[in-house]
Amino acid sequence: MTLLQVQHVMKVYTTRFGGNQVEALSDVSFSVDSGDYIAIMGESGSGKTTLLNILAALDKPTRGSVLLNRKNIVQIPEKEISAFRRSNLGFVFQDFNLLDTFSIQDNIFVPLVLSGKKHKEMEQKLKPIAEKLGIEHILTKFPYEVSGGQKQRAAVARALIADPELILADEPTGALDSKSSDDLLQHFDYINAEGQTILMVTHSIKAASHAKRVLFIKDGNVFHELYKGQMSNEEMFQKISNTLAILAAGEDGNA
Amino acid sequence: MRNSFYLKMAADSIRKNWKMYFPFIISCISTIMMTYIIQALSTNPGLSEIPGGENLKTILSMGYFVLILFSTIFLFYMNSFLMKNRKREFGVYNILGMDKKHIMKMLAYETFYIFVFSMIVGLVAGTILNKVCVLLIRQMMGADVALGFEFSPEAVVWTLSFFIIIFLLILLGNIYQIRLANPIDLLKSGNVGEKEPKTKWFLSILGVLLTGWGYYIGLTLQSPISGMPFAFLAAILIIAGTYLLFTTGSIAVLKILKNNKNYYYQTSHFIPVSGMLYRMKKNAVGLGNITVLSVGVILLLSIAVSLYIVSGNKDGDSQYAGNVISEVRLSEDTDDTGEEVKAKLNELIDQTASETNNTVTGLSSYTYLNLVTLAADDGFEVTKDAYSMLAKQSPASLYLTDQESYNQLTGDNISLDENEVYVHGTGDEYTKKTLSLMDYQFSVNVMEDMEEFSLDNETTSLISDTYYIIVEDIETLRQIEKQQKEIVEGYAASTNVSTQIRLEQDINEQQEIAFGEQLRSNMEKEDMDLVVVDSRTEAASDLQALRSGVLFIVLNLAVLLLLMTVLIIYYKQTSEAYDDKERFSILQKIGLNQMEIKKAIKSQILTVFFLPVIVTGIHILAIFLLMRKLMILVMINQVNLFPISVLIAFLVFLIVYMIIYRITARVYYKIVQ
Ligand SMILES: Nc1ncnc2c1ncn2[C@@H]1O[C@H](COP(=O)(O)OP(=O)(O)OP(=O)(O)O)[C@@H](O)[C@H]1O
Ligand SMILES: [Mg+2]
Repeated sequence: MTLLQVQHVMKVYTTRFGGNQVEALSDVSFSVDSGDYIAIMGESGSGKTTLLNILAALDKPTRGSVLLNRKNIVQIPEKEISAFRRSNLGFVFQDFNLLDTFSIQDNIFVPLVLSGKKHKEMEQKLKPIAEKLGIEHILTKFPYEVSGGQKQRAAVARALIADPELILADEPTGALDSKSSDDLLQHFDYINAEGQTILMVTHSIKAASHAKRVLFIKDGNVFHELYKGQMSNEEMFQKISNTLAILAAGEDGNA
Repeated sequence: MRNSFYLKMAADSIRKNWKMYFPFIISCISTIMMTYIIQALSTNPGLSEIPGGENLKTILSMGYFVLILFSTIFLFYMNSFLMKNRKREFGVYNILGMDKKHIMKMLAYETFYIFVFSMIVGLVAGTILNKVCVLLIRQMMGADVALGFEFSPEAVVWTLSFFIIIFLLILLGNIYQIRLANPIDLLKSGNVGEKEPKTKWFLSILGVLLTGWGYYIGLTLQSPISGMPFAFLAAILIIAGTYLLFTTGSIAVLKILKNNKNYYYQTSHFIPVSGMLYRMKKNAVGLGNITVLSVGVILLLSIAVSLYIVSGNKDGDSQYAGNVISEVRLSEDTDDTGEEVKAKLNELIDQTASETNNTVTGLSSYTYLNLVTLAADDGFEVTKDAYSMLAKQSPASLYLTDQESYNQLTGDNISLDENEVYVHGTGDEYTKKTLSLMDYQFSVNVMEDMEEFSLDNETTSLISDTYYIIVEDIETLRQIEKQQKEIVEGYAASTNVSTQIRLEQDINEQQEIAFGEQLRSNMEKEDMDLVVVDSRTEAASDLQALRSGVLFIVLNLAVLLLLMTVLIIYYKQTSEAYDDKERFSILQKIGLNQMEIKKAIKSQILTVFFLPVIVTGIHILAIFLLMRKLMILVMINQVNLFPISVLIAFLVFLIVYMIIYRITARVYYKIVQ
């Protein structure tokens, strides 16, 4: 079943003084099925974050549409967008974005509190998720009292707690050491195996090799697509490296 | 590294961090300025010369003490803002290879610069402002005003030494913090919040007790003038209690709210409660500062309004029934019954009248003795304790006259036997059958409708218990005077002849003053031991001078305090807004919309703003009675208007406060966006 459809999305940034126009995305189309695990790769400045912001309804495309469960999120009125975001999407950021003022547990509760859920229900939802992510013992601590890996796992728990349709992650391993990265990717695998759809932007080949599908973006277009199929992580790793090498070579050739 | 290097580096660093230093320097300058002005005014010799000047000085020195206390807290508080931001910079220096000793040295130079700069600007501004005050007062009063201006070296020395101590303490505190911290902590300190504070029940309860004690004194203190130390104590207790309650009490309350899960986990409570708890320690001192300042502003404003009301209403001022009053002290010789003095005086009055072309239309004269005593079981005790500031019991003031004087003055015809007296109390009547006063044992007749003969003492009669007593004859009066002299020595009162002279009705002010002055010089020529010769006009303008002077000082102070309140609120809100900026952007990403953010911000700002106002209101109610008693000094018989003044002051304050609220809320929202 198709969960997300991105159709001919174009994004043009107009600089403050009106003069220069930057075309961050020119014509991006792809679709995501329920239960998919997609990695988006591309060089710096290729438009990955721009795309993710549009999918997250944090930004509007200049042209094109984004359908989540057949609903065009581009047309959701401003007033409803926050509610839409917190009930349908979960976010994991490179720099965790946990709030210093809350304990880990309260940080995880934020989306539920914002949706006006009862405290009892929150506790019930938290328990299995915290267990799954191995953070039960740090729930009462504050973000500045735990490690980066623990913070990111807490952020994942926060993304999961409202049962979103889709998890959007922008370079989730970017601020983690390799051990914590592996850990987190393992957790992503588990979550995905349970049916959670994940869309992740990453620079890390290793991270991308966990995904079922990798999209390569270049100059604002989807340049190439890789399916993992029955490949192992190692084989996938090799394939991604090769594609990236071709991508880079192509650039040299053009120049 | 050489000293000049540090000098340059410190100067650079102040310039670079000007945005952060600016509010701190402004605070330093304004506290220095205020301290100087109040100190200069309270040691101003010109002030003693106007009636009530001594009382004014007492009020000022009390204000000075509170000011010192407050300045210290205020500057430390401002410094904590500054240091929080500077620490990261120091961390970078430290990591780049500047050792802590050098950082401290640089910090010392910075502090020194700021000290010198604020001191110079503060003292110059203080001197100018002081002068401006005096000039304006002179203008208001028309030239000859007792409030003379001079540059006060004494005040400079005081201000200088006091602020040297404060700056040293601040520097030591900062050095201590840096010594303790490792570079990583320094680097982090800009963005790592305080640990969640613990609930301190003991201190919370102590806060309640201290405030309660302060309130108790405020509500029960009988005579704030003689009990000035207690009034002081009440002020200090309430201030200390306020800070304790805000620092520990607020945390306790927030913790309780947080532990109530069903309350806490709601959008409109979740964000503000956690936000406030997160930085409550610092927040609390800020709220305490705002509260103490607000109370100060309202009190000062209400005094100013009272003075304004009173000086606009001249009728209430007439202390004298006659146009001119004179008082002459009788000689030490107890056989002197004052007949001679009275006769001489009548002669001189006639002479003066003809010299100044005036006609005397009425003349009344009586002999009286004013004793300060302590009420005892069977009468009144004459003792030196009655003059002590620390006396537990408020003194009773006795006005004694002889029956012949009284009959002359009032046209009554009373006749007393030996050892018999008529007594009338202005507050409660004297209820006992007998009255013992030193060696005398009088039997008492109460005369409720007794004419209160000493007309110029309304002030005292409202502050302490006052009794008017008529004794049989002048000899008794003089005997009492003599016995009293032996007991209280230096404090002894004397028997005076008070004469009120009424002149023609259509007399103008110049003529009245001229008559008074002529009479004075005539009396001086005759070597009479005169206590005072005063005309109604002079007295009224003296009083007016005092009131305008006080009005001015008070208004100045109120404005300065208000300025400081504004500065603190603004500084606090903007610096918090920068802290919260990230928080709200994260929340927005997770799914909080503009409306909800606005609501959360609003409820957070509202608490910060209106908690202090509520506490201020309660404080004002608690010390209202005390203030009213003090205000008798300036408002005399119009003290009934004091509640209106307080109300007006509160409204003015509230309006300014609302404006600050609107502005800072907007600034906060803009930054957070
Ligand atoms: N707000 C903006 N205004 C103008 N131009 C922008 C804006 N945001 C991004 N751009 C431009 O759009 C292009 C794509 O940026 P984007 O942030 O999407 O890249 P990215 O793929 O996420 O890069 P990186 O891997 O470095 O994060 C860049 O050329 C960037 O300069
Ligand atoms: Mg990016």
